[in-house]
Amino acid sequence: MMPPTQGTTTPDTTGIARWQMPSLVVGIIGLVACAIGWFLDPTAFFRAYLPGYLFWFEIVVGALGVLMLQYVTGGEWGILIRRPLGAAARTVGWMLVLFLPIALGMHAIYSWTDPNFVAHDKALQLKAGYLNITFFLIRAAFYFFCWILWAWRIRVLSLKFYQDRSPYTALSRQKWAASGLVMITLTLTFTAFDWIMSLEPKWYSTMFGINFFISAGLAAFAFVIFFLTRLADTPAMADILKPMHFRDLGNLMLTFVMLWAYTAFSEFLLIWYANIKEEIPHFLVREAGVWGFIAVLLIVFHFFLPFFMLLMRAIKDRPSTIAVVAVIVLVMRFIGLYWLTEPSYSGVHFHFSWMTLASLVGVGGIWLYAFIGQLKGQTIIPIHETWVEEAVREGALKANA
Amino acid sequence: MAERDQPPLHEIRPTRQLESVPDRFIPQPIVEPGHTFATITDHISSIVLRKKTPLGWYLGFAVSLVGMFVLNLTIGKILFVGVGLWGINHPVGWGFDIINFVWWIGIGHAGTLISAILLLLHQEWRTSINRFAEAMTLFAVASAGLYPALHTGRPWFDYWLFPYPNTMAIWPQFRSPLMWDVFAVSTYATVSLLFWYVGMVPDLATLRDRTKNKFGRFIYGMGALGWRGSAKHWHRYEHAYLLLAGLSTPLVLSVHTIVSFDFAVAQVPGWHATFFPPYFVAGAVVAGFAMVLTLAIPLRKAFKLEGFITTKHLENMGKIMLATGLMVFYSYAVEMFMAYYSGDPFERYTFYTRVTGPYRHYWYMLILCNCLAPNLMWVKRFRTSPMWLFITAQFVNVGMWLERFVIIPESLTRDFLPSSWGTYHGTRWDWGMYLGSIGLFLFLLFLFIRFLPMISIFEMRTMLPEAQAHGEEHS
Repeated sequence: MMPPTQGTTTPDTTGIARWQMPSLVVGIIGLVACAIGWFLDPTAFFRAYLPGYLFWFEIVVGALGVLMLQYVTGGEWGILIRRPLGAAARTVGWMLVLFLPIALGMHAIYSWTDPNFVAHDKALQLKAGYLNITFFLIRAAFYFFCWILWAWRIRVLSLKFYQDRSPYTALSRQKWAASGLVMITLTLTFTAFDWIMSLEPKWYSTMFGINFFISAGLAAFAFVIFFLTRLADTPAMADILKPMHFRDLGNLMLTFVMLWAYTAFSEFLLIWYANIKEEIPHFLVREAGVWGFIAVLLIVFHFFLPFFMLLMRAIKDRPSTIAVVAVIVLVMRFIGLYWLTEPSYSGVHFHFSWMTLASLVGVGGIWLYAFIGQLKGQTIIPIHETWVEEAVREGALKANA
Repeated sequence: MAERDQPPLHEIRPTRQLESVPDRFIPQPIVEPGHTFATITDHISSIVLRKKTPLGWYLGFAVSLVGMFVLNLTIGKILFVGVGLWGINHPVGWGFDIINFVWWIGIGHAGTLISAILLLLHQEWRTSINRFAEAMTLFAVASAGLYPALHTGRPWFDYWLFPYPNTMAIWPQFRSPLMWDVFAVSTYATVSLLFWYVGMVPDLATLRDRTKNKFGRFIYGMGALGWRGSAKHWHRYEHAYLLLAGLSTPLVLSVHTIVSFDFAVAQVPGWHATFFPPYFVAGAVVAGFAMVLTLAIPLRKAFKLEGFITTKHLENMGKIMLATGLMVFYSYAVEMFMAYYSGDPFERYTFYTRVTGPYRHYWYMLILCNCLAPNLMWVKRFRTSPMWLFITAQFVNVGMWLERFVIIPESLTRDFLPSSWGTYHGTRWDWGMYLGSIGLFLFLLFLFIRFLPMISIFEMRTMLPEAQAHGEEHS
């Protein structure tokens, strides 16, 4: 059933597949290091694990969100990245397994799990109906259920589309994607509140969820752009990937960089300006000492540098240069997450543990293994989809003529 | 290198074509089939150039004149007596005047979004609605500008808002977002005006060439700036237009962001929320699209423009109204949740009062108008029906006004100190000012549709299949 030429852009021909086993080995080494950390100092391990996990988690849920956005809007920009996005989104089941250390280590990670701590605080008692262990776990289970359901439905409909090529299948996939966007906006908002914002249980900010799902989208874009640049030189893809494609994707990444800066800056400005004791401690801690230096790094490398680089066509069009931007963005995403989570424990004092690095590598290795596994068995470019779209367009032209 | 012998992958065509495409999947045309270059020019320019003005236009214009009369009366009275005529007093110092300012500024946003952002995103369907949407932006900004200008109390000193060297040692307070508003809104008005005018130059030349009236030829000729349609003119024009689009794009975000700062920098519960900037921008866009639909649906009917403003346009606008309406819904939900989650008694009480307090009916109406009504747009039948779109747009128009009422004066009536609680209602002068500004808006709009081409003639011509067959798109 497969046309012969379709075989040329599979993970095997592009050389992606050979990264799968090394990723697994690196991942296992990382997780073994994590296990050692767990034995040495469980509290420190759990706290170090959170940012390492969140970094990869962002890429996965961001990919699911961008994938659905692409199915709703149907822009041409998405055709080249559908498959990697879909593969990344389908690894969400693995992220559920990798979430277990957080569920198990809640006592170490979240101060509100301590009844003594809550007993001395009126505000925490008032929100105990939301911030309690049972409800937290129920919510996490519900979020994962939703993400898995939508990733699975979209997969099933895409496979069905491959078989029947019916526009009705595409339409029903589009409907799932539209409702999925509502779902993912809400679930990611509350994920951000639950998993990150509640690290400082008394602090709150309505922008937090918005900034988080924009960050996830940005991370997903940076990842798939980097992924495509790795393929650009392979014989199988050299004819397909054109500067125009990287320019389109670069513009979208630029949009996300700007949205990230817009939401992060608005949040900071409004809290700084109002300067009330409920909110300002969050930034006072993160402005002090090394954290303050990292905040400046975020301003420069998470916004200004990628912003100006992505304005330039010479950089956007070339795989070798846009890859640099993507890597800068990804590195800054991790630093941003670390800057968001760690000061909740260490206060104004800077602290970095080898276990964070071990978690980042461990989760990352396992995740890359799963990601490449999901890519296998299909072409990287969904050629049949473009056929049908063109066929519909041509049919319409004939109908109108 | 066996692959080299095969054709490049992107040139491979499917082996199995769809035999017939079901109706539902045939893309709607942007211009109704049957139009040619000549019919487009004739149809749009004849609305302006015909001798006989339709009776309906006179009727509408008369209604807008009544509004203008009310406006002038109100402004005159306020200039003589003062802003005490309005319902504002302690504790509510910001009432209808600011609500209406935000309402109008928000409405203006759709024009900029349609003309600038959709242009940069290559959304070609925008072409038939961008001209009057931009005009709507300008008129909405004009109506909005009246309110803060009068709210200062002594409008004849409004020029003090600008930083200029003076002997009075007066300098504006640059730390106040109200000051940023002055610059944001005046920049917005200037850029929107330029964008609208520059986009109209080739069409003004068309009118100059087609009108038989000597006076008209002179006026349109002045406006056309000596346009001859040479390749050089077009080249310069395309450059200028793209640059202005680029300049306008950040304005879609910045203006309403700064408007939201007016409230969010304060500590008042119900005003101080960090997500106000995107929340207000989404609200502005949904309000703007509702107003574009409110104007487009009657206009296309009255001037038989169904061939240009097709069902596809209406449907797309319905979709944008749905998307931004859902963002607004999200904002209400998160705001409500965060009031609970904050554990702060003042925050909690403010939101509790919204649902149970003296203004609860406003809140229920708000939820109906802004959260429930736009969900009709999920259904294709509703978003392709002009009547249903019009009805939904009216819900949103009302809902966006209510939203500002619920946020602005209502939060002020329940401050931190119970001793300073109060109530607020607009007086007849508040309502007079509101109706009057609608009158001003309609007045300008009716003049616009009578004397200027409300749809871009030359851009519509590029939408025809004949035009598309030749040029590749440049970007």
